[in-house]
Order: sequence, then structure tokens, then C-alpha cells
Amino acid sequence: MRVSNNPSVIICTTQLSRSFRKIAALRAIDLSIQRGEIFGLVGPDGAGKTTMLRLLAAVMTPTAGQVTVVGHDSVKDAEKIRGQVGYMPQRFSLYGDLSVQENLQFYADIFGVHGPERQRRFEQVLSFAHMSDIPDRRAKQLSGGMQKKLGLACTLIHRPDVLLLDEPTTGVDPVSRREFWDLLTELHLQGTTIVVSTPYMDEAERCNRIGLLFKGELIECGTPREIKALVQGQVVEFHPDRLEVARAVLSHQPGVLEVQVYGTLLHVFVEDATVVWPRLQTVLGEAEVKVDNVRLIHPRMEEAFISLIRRQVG
Amino acid sequence: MMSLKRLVAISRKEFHHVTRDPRTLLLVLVAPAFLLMMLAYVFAFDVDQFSVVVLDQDRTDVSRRYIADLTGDGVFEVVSYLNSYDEIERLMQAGRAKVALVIPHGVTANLLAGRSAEVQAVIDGVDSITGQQAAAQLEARSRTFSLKLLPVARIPASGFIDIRTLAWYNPSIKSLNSMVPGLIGVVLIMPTLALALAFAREKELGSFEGLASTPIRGVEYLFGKILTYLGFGMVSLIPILIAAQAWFQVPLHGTLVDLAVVTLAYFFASFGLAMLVVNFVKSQQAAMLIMILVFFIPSFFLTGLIVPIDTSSPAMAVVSGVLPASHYVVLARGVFLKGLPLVEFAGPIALLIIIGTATLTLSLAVFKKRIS
Repeated sequence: MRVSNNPSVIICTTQLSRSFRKIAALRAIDLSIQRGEIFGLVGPDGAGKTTMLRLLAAVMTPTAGQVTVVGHDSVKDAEKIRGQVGYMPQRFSLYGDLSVQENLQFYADIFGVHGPERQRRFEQVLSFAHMSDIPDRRAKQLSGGMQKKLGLACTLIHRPDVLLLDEPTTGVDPVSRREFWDLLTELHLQGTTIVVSTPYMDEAERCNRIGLLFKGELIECGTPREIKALVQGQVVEFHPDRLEVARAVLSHQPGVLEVQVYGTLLHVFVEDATVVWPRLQTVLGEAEVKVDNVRLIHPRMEEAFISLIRRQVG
Repeated sequence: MMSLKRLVAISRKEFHHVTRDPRTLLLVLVAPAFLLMMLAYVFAFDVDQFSVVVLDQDRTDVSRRYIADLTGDGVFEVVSYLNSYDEIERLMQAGRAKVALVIPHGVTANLLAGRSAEVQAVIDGVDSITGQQAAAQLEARSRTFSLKLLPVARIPASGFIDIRTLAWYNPSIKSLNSMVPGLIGVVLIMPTLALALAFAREKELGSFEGLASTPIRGVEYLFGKILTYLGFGMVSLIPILIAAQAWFQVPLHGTLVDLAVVTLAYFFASFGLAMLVVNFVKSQQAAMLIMILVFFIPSFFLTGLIVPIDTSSPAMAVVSGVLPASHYVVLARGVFLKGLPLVEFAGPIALLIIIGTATLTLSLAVFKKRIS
């Protein structure tokens, strides 16, 4: 067993598996998360991100394998984990009919935050979440982004060492999303370990390391740079005069991994541009498509993600 | 224009909703039969046994034949033969007898002289339906006896037995007087229902998942919820009391403290049972339906509220024994109509406490801070 003797490892899973009836949601995940890092869980819907976080938060029992969080086993010593972990489920888990302040008070009571410290924490998390001026607002009257921030504030009330966030920014507008991540960065700088699942690739880029989940398996794990480096391909961007024809003729060419439309531009994701592109130009010429503004761009996380998933499917 | 295709699409979708949710499936397929059985049980049984005590002051051959004739088929089961009138009160308070038959001295003499003779039937008016049935049966049996058997004993036709019914505790045998206190048990299911819904709502909305990751303990969670609804439940007793007294004019012979104590015991048992049942559901809808099936309807029919509990069927005896309302019906009627000291009701109160303790212990044992 790989139980961590290494003090820098704060979360460790060994052959972690979870099935629902006969369907495996997670298969034999081995993962170590370092103290203080922001670890991103990415993967398509149904990949097992939520199950993973539930297992880490010890609100779900694994069917096989084990989870160690802050040195405690998630099954035998779940209660020892709870005080040191802040878990924010994907569904809004606050009480809409309670005010901002009342929600905080509730969680402070549950986590046993009392005494002079209590008021100070309220002020801290409220100002942190930019809600100092609306403590009496009912939670259900907050915007989606604000609700997420309040959720985060509530999970922070007991100063957890580990934050587990399940798609905290899904359904939130880009500005609020950025604000939320600024808060996470602040916590990261204060030394909090953060495990966050996200469907957004720009968010994945902001993590120290990411784990790519697909069909219940951890198919890749590393820094964003490492993940992108796994993908050999390149992206050729150009402006065709007949977008639909260009897309149709290129889609099934050998060496073409992906064709995507970006407004009037076409992104063609290829294995090796120097080899494939001249051939594609010929094909486009035969189809009487004129091309300009050609440039080579490096694959971003999104392309890397799609490519890695394609590789699995193929 | 109405589109049949859209209609069918909706219908197909609903079909999937039902078939893919075992609870709904159970509800639409099995529950009607379940209800039918339960209701059939209820309406098929008449009161077929009354416990009766006999005070025969006449002690003649005729009076003995009269008693034998009335009780011969076992419908009126003679619990004991008494020697004094005072004993009736003692046995009836203890609930050991529902009917007392009093044959005064001189009945036979009057009959032989061709005069009518009065016989007294004392019935326990607390349970008005049983009382009325007993009175009606005794009257009919006395008439038959007068017509058929008195001539055999060479008694002139003008001599007949006139049975006079006297209802204790509820002298007018007003069914409202016995119905209202009993119904309080049913209407007080509302706080229990609210508790069950609150429990299910937390799971349904997902806030339970967040809570599960906190250091909160099962005991705190369950009892925290119970406490609130206990408070509301007790407060709801105030308007109920006002309605019972001011509107229905039901006398409260016991004290308010008595009523508060028995109601607390009732909530304790009901909340425990509700917690145990609701532990296994995940939606408010399911909680609502289960509460209706497990609490509401049985509390109407299987608790002695409308019809006496058929104790001859062991299954029904168990069901009504487990249902908190059946004990509360006895207690509430007792406090309102009899006004006896609580010691007299130690039995049902103890049963409520046992039900509450057992169900809450079980609820805690099955309660999991996990989702599945």
C-alpha cells in the first residue's frame, strides 16, 4: 500500500474504486496530492469527477481501495477528516431561506467556531467574499455567482487545510468566474490545499497540476505544461473563403485530428503541420477553396484535452 | 391544434418516470390494493365482543336465565360477577369492562306480577361507538328474552324487561365528545409530517451532502430537527384546545399538564417512527406519500378512533400497537372525558415512550452521513 509517509502528501488514494450497482464510476485511482497545491480534476461529464470529490470528502464510501486525507482513512476515521476539510458540493447546498449571516452562523456552529474568534472569522470571510454589505440578504436572493461565493465562505469558516470544490464555477458568468478564481488563488497563497473539479479548460490552466478523468479512469496527471506536451499535434489557423466546404473536405483527411470553426476562422488540429499542411493545401485547392491569414498556433489545454480523449476513444 | 403525437410523447415520458422510479411504481400499482385491504378490514368488522360485568341483586332463576341468555353466545363476555355497585366504577375506570349489567332486587317479582321491570345497563361512554352498539344489542336481546323466554317462565305478557341505558363519563354519549379528543391524535400528525418533509427536503435539495462533510453527528442532526418540531407541535395544541372547548364544547376533565404530558409522549413516539421511515427516502414527495400511508390513513382506521380495534386479529393488534395514535386516542379521551390522574394511564404512556425510544435508537443506527 502506498499510504503516505511523506508529510508533503495531504491526500492519497490507493486503487480507489466506486461502483453504482454494476456500473463502475471510478476504477482503481492512484493519486497523491501535495500539501498546498491547487489540483484540478478535469474530464467530460460522467467521467467521475463528482464521485471522486465525494470520496475525498468522505461523504461516500469506496467500493474498493482507500483514501487517506490529512493522514486519516476516509472510512475508519472519517470524523477526524471532517474538521480539517471544507467540501462544497456541486449542488447549491446552502439554505436559501436563511440570510448570508445566518448561513455562516449555522456553519460556524456546526464546526464549533466559538468565542472571540467567531466574529473575526465572520468579518474575514464576508470581506473575502465581498459580502460585508449584504449580511441580511436571503441566500436564495443572491445571484448564482454570489451563491457560490457564499458557499465558499461557509466552507472556509473553520479554516480547513483542504478545500474540495465540485465544479464551483459551473453556470457562473465569466466575470464572477474570474473573481471566484482570484479568491482561490488567494487561499492557495495562504497555503490551503485545493482540489477543484472543472469543465473549463482556462481554469485547468490555473492549477498546479491537473488529473484528467475519463470513464472513471485517471488517464493523465501532471502540470498543465506537461499535459499539453503530451499532445504532439499542432493547430493550423486560417481563413477560408468557403468555410463549410473547407470544413467538409478537411474533416476526413488522414493526419487531421480535429477541425473546429471559430467564427470565420478554421482551426485544423494536425499531428505534424510540416508534413500534413502542404497536402491539405492541395486538397483545399482542388476543392477551389481560397485560403489566407494562415498561422501555426500551439495547442491549448482545450485541444490537448480533446486529443487525449480522442486517443482513449480511438 | 392539439397534437396527438405530442400527447403520446408526454404520455410516454410519464410512463418512463413511473416505471423508472420503484417508489412511484409501488405507489401506483401496489398501494391501491394495500388501501383496499386496509379499508376492507375496517369496514368488515363490527364490534363482536364486549367485556361485561354483572351485578345481579335479584338472584332468581329468571335473572340467571336472563344473564345466561344475554351472554350465552360470547358477544357479551362476562369478565366478573360483582357484589356491589361501587365495583363497577373501579373496573370501568381501569378499562376492564365496557358494559355493566345491573339487575336490581325485585325484578322477578315485578315480572311475575305482570309489571315491567327495569334493568340497568351502564356503558362506558368514552368510546361512544362501542357504547352505542352495546346498548343497542342489549336492548334487542332483552326484547327477545321478554317475548320468547318469559312466557316459558309463566310470566304474564304484560310483564317485560325494560332495559335502561346509562352512559358514564360521556352521559349523552355524544360521539363528538369521544371523536374530538381522539381526532386530536390524527391532526397532531401534521407536525410529524412537517418533520418528515424537512428531513427529506435536506436530502432532496442537496444541503445534506454539504452537511455530511462536516463534523455534525447523527444524534445532533436528528434531535436538532426533532426539537424544533416538538416546540411547534406543542404550540399547535393551543388552537386545538380552543377549538375543542369553545367550538365543540368538549369538556376537559383532566388538567392541562396531563394533556401536555401525554401529547409530549405522543410526539416522542410519532417523531421516532417518522424518522425511522423517512430515513430511507430521498425526496419530499416520497416522504409525503409514506407518511400518508403509514401514519395518516392507519391512524384514522386502525387506532380505535372510528371503530374499535379488532384485537382478535393478531396482525391488526400489532399494527395498532405500533401506531402511536392508537395509544394517544386512549390517552386523549381519558384526559378529556375521564380526567383521571395520569397514573391510571401509565400503560399507554409507557408504550409511547417505548415506541419512541426504540424507533429513535433504530433511526440513529441506520442514519448515515453518507450519500449513495
